[in-house]
Amino acid sequence: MWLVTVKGLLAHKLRLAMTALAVILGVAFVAGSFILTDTIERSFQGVINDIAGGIDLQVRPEGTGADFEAGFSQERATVPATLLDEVRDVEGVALADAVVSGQAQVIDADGQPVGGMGPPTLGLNAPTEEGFAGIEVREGRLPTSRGEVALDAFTVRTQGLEVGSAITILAGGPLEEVTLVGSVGFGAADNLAGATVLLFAFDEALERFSPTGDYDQIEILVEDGAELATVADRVASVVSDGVEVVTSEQLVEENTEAVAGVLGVFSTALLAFAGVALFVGVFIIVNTFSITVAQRVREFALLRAIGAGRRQIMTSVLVEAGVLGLLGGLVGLALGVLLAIGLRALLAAFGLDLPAEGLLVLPRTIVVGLVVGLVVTVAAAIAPALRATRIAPVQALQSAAVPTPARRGWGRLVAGSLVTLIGVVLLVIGLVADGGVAALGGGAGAVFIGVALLSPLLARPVVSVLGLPIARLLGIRGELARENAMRNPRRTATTASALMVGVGLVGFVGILGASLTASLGDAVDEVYRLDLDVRSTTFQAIPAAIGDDLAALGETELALTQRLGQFELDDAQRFLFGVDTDRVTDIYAIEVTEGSLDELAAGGIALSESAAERDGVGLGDALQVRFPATGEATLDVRAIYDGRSIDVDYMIDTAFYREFYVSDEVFAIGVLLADGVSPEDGQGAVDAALAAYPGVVAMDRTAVRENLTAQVDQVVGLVYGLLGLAIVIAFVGIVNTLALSVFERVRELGLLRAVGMSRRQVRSMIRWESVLISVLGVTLGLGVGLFFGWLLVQALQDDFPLRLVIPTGQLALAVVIAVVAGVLAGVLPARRAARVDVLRAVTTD
Amino acid sequence: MAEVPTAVRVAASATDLVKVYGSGDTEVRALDGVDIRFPVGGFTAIMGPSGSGKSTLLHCLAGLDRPTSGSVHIGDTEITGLGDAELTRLRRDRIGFIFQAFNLIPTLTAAENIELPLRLAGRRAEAGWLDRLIDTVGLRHRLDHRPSELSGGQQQRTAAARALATRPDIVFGDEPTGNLDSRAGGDLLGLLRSSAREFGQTIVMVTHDPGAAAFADRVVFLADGRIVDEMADPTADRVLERMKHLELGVSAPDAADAAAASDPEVADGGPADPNG
Ligand SMILES: Nc1ncnc2c1ncn2[C@@H]1O[C@H](COP(=O)(O)OP(=O)(O)O)[C@@H](O)[C@H]1O
Ligand SMILES: [Mg+2]
Repeated sequence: MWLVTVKGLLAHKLRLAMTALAVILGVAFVAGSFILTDTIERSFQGVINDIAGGIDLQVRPEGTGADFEAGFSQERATVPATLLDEVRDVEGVALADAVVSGQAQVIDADGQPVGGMGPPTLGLNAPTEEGFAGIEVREGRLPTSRGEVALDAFTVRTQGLEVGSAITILAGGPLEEVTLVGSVGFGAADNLAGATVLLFAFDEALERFSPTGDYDQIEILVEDGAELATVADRVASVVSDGVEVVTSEQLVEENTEAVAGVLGVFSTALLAFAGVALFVGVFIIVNTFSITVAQRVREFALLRAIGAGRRQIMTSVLVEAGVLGLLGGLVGLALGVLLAIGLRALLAAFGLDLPAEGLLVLPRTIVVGLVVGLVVTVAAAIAPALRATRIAPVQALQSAAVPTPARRGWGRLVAGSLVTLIGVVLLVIGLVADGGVAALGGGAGAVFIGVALLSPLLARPVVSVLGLPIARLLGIRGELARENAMRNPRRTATTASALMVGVGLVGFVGILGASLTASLGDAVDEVYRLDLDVRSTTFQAIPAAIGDDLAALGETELALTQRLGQFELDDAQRFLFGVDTDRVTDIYAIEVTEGSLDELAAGGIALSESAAERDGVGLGDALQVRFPATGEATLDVRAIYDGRSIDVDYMIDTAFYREFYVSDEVFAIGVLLADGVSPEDGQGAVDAALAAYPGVVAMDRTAVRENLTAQVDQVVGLVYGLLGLAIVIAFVGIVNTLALSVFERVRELGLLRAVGMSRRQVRSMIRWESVLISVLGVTLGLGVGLFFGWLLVQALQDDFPLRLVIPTGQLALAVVIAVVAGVLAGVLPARRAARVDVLRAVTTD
Repeated sequence: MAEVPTAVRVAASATDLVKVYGSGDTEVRALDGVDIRFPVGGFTAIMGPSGSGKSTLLHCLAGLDRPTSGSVHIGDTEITGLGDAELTRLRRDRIGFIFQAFNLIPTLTAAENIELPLRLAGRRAEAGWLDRLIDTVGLRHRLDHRPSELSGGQQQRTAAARALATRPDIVFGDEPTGNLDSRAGGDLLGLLRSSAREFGQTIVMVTHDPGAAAFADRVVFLADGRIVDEMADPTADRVLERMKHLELGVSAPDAADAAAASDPEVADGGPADPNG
């Protein structure tokens, strides 16, 4: 029996390779995801350890642990400046340094901020001693006086800067020229996990980044031989309320956790795509094994006739699957390494530069890769293997020529409908009842499986209709292609189902993207009354001075500055919108449902309907809040508005904002042009005023809409790219099925050739069969995708009303691509078919 | 060896045809200098012991296989030098085939199978011809059936109709009755003979059944890749007699094969002497 299995494997290398390809690509995706995230995690970990390793203790405001939220506001809780001297006096403290930080950008040769939309761009004070907090000088020295900066070695290198030369920076004001006096690293890394870091002399940093003169943190080295815990206790005893002392170990732990959290989302997303790829692969493996079992009916029957038991037959098929799965797993792991390299390059292209260390392949990755390959393949082979055991010995004697027609399946109809229904119910639970990702994924998977179960029943009628024009246009070869695609509905349907999954998801994402774009566009049209929206391209705060500059222009009637601020409410961090509430409705259409924005001035706050509901407050209630710099305050709820349109939950007046926030930075400015000023002139005047502020742009409503669309399109494009792999796997499946079918129909092809079918006609016939299978897959997929899209839009109707838009252009393009890809998938099998020796039909074996 | 009078038009011919399989120790001369002509309208049976080269000859004549040397003409066309595309067109338009088994495309109906060569050529049959053919082969009531729903005899008659549909220069059959019972076989052979007589269709058929050979106008005997004899107006008895002599001259294993081929059951089960 082993001999038969092994020989069987060796005899069908091509079939093996094609089936394995499905496993390989799936496993590669899984392994690649693990390798990439492990590698990233390790480099983050390295940075975390290096930095924390440079200090022993940190004094910081309570509750300001590793929060990665960037936000437009620099406003956060601080450590009083007076504390530094007290800490320095504590017995056992060898060195204590303050840290103040903010946003600072280096301007590149083209006048654009380095880092763009990527990771943060930080400004920090230089430590008083090199090596403190992991900061090490690579070249030159640390800045000591005004107008000097040091920069992370990575940016120095990639921007081709020279230590000793002048560079242009942007840090909370207009452009400035400063002298680059050194390049620094952070432990072993050349930058801070991708962030650009500018170091300033302490006084300058304090002036730039700390409006109150207080510090972000104080970092401490303890004396050699001193007990860390004891020193920590002593420091804790001198610090004021709202300030805490943590050890470097705690810092490492917190930061590691935070990084793991962020990376976890990333790796879950990658693994979800890997799951889709594997899911598609399963269809192909099932199909391949089904076909080969069907082709080996006589072989199995003969084995049974000479005494092989059912279990032995089963084992034989499963062992074949197991070997295949392991081999696929191994090759997939190797490919996964390549994939990780590719993905890393892709991330680098998006601005996330990671230290170019070796990739990290954990034993877990290898084990998971192999197990996934093995389990998926063997599980997929179970149904075909069971079918093989049902082959009767007597079938060895019968001619295998007559294909068994697919059973008219009531069972299939019931099972398929049931599974589809379960899937839909799960989806509804996931969407409406907040059943979570598991319900959604399971539901989508169940719908796909259900439709796949039903698809053999659909294959005949659908192909029959889709094939009609082909048969009409191409005559006999088209007719034969159509007949061939219909002759074994289960095979055609399973092959097409693999494609259905990929196309279904693409269709869904396409619909979602189009609906989102359209709805965001609608919202801009409805809500934006302003003529120009001025903001930073890098999601940073912009200097408040720009507002004055723009207001002073003769071409503008209004330049309304908008501020964001963080505050604490019921122990949760929230953001508020600080704006001139008298005029905010001139730039945004805000529907006030209760109260009035006019009465907001001092002491008042406006809430969105949803926030009011969440916080359980109404008009006239008092709200207890806490601001980071100025502490507790009580605000009156004076207005409730429909916040769905502007996506801001709390609003206060600018004048009032200034009372609670010490920094004065703006995140956007809404401009109304003066009467009689043409849009071109207005834009020209504003652009000219903004020339001094790189990275700040003015967009009219069309540009705002296009910008939103571009952002959605970028995400949609990325998802398409990742789903592309699943679609590639599906087409591999078509190649595989057709190649096997050609093999099975050798005699028939020989006969066709004998009675006068040309090679070209043979090739065309097979290619059109391929096209029919792919069009079937695309049709099913688009059907499912449309349904998913519709369902999601319905489910979101209350919280986030979307206008359902079906991107017909894109979907038509998908069909065209499917036809082309179908033709391509048919090329190899068609070539094989055309090479079939005419005599194969004539000579009886 | 009786010469065919030169005045008779020739549908196909082979000159000094040699086909060698393999090389060195494993070399087999399947055809060893065959010269033969098939006059238009003639029904020729090719007989010979198993392994004598009958099928090889047929394949070379029909352009399904290339001879090692020598030449083959279909009508005036020398086919030995033709490329695949030209050979394909030749087979489609000027040659008909009936194989021993697997003659029909399983996904096409009987009618579609009959029209297949015409459809491949993008041609329509002459008006009335297909109808007449279908009636002749007696398949009127089975036209919409697929091969799996037809009996063996019906399948072979469908194949015959397909072979005749294009009015080819010549129809080749390789043991077309090999898988049929005697009645179905007799029906098919009668059909072939009448198409030769009534439509002037040239037919060349390989068989190892003397009864089948008796339907032909002439029988050509092959042994070891050479033509060893010819018989005009054959009867089953005379052919059987001739075959027995031929088989005496061959080696032991092949003799056993040949004995099986001329197994009494097959011979006795053959149709009655068509000339009787
Ligand atoms: N493809 C082939 N390769 C090698 N030898 C072959 C091949 N086809 C036929 N032969 C050999 O050529 C000889 C003639 O075969 P064939 O024409 O099939 O004989 P027949 O049809 O008279 O039984 C036989 O000895 C056979 O073994
Ligand atoms: Mg033969």
